[in-house]
Amino acid sequence: MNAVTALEWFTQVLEVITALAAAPLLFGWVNQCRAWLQNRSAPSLLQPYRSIRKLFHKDAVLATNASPLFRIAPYVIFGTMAAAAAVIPSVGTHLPFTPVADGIALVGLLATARVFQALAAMDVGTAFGTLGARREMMIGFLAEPALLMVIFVASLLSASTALPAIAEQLASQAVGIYPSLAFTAVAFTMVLLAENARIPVDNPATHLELTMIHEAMLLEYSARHLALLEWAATLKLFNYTCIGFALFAPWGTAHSETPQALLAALPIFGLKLLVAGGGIALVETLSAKLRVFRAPEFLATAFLFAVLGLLVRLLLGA
Amino acid sequence: MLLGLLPAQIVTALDTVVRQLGLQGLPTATAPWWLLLPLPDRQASYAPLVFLVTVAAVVVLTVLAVRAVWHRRVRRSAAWDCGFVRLDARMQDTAEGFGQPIRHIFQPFFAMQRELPTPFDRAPHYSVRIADRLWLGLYQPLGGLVRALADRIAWLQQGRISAYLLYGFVTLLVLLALML
Repeated sequence: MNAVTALEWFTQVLEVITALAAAPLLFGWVNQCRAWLQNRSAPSLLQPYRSIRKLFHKDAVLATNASPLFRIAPYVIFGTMAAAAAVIPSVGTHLPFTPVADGIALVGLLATARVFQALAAMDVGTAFGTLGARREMMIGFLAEPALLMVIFVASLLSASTALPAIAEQLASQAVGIYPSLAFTAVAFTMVLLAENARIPVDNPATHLELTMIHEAMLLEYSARHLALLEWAATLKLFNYTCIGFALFAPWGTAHSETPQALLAALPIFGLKLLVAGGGIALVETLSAKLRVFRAPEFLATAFLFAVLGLLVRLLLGA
Repeated sequence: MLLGLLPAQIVTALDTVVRQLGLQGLPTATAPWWLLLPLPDRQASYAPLVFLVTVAAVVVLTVLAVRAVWHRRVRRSAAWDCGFVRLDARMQDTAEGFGQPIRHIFQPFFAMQRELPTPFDRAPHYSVRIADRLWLGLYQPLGGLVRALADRIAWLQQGRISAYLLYGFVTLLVLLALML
């Protein structure tokens, strides 16, 4: 193994570790921004870490009729989210894992996590779990095509479906402002909000039975299982944000795998996360929670925006 | 399952068929056996086996790490019933619950007949019959048309050898006339 590949593997490991470590921080930052924008006193930036740590130390309580699937699901969901972080370029784009899975496989991976989440939610058989699973699948089957369409537009522009290659291609072009990417950016933001149980579709802060989706699926979980699921939820938000960076803001990632380039890329990446987290909080504060049956309209709009981007690209070549 | 895990091999196997049809084959020969490389000039590839193994390894690693760092204590208890203890198997969710939102969203495309029970029914009864409007409105008339046409043409098939020989003879005559 020569030095270049060693550095590439180092970048790969660094990316996953950054994702695992920084995901709760991003979550905390979004919560903090939300609190500020809503004139509340904000919780500490480290609050997600504290709650995850507390949950890990607790004794796990399982329902008497919980099957092994219920116990293994948090590990599978966490594992898939961590593996997804390996495919998405965040700090550098030269990742040795890239040829293994492209953007379409990534969408499949996220769908796998969703299926396990829904299965686990139905496992114990309480009313809320199945309710959450049903709603999650409803959101999922509408959000997935929109996300795929977004990736297709980006892959049309850059002649590749692998996210690091897309990021590299889009970043290397001279001032490239594509109208098609602007449309898909709107679509992607909407998918991000829906997939991560953010406000127009779901509210991460409530346990109000009429509206909740994601939280309804976690109700039977406790202790380390719940900790893993919460951590996985923060990882999911982090992953989606990084997909957004790769597609719409690929500037500043390290293209040459030298330690200097990586060091230079880290603060830019942090800055992008700060801005994106603030943006998510702003959108959440400015919009109202939709009724559950309004969510399909929201996601259909996202899909339409993505298709519009595709048409702009194919018909106008812009 | 096999198609998903070993796509390169199956694509190569199908490739001979594609070449026999006189179409341009797929350039998969350059890739290693575990890698699917649909378009070599574009940066897109997929290695399902490696992907599966990696994801599985990460999951196993997570299990081991959690077990090593934290405790493994588990207590069993009754599920949280939200104050409603009489939940039994008759009230469990069925596939209906998952299909309902899809029906709701794509309502214009479905012809739906539904019987909903009222709270005063002695023997509550729920039934739903779903038909595809597109199937009823487009495919069934088309199918009917084809069937009607086929019925009309069926009188040609008399079942007598002499009639078929006559058809062959007439066809030959027509072809001859066309050639000359």
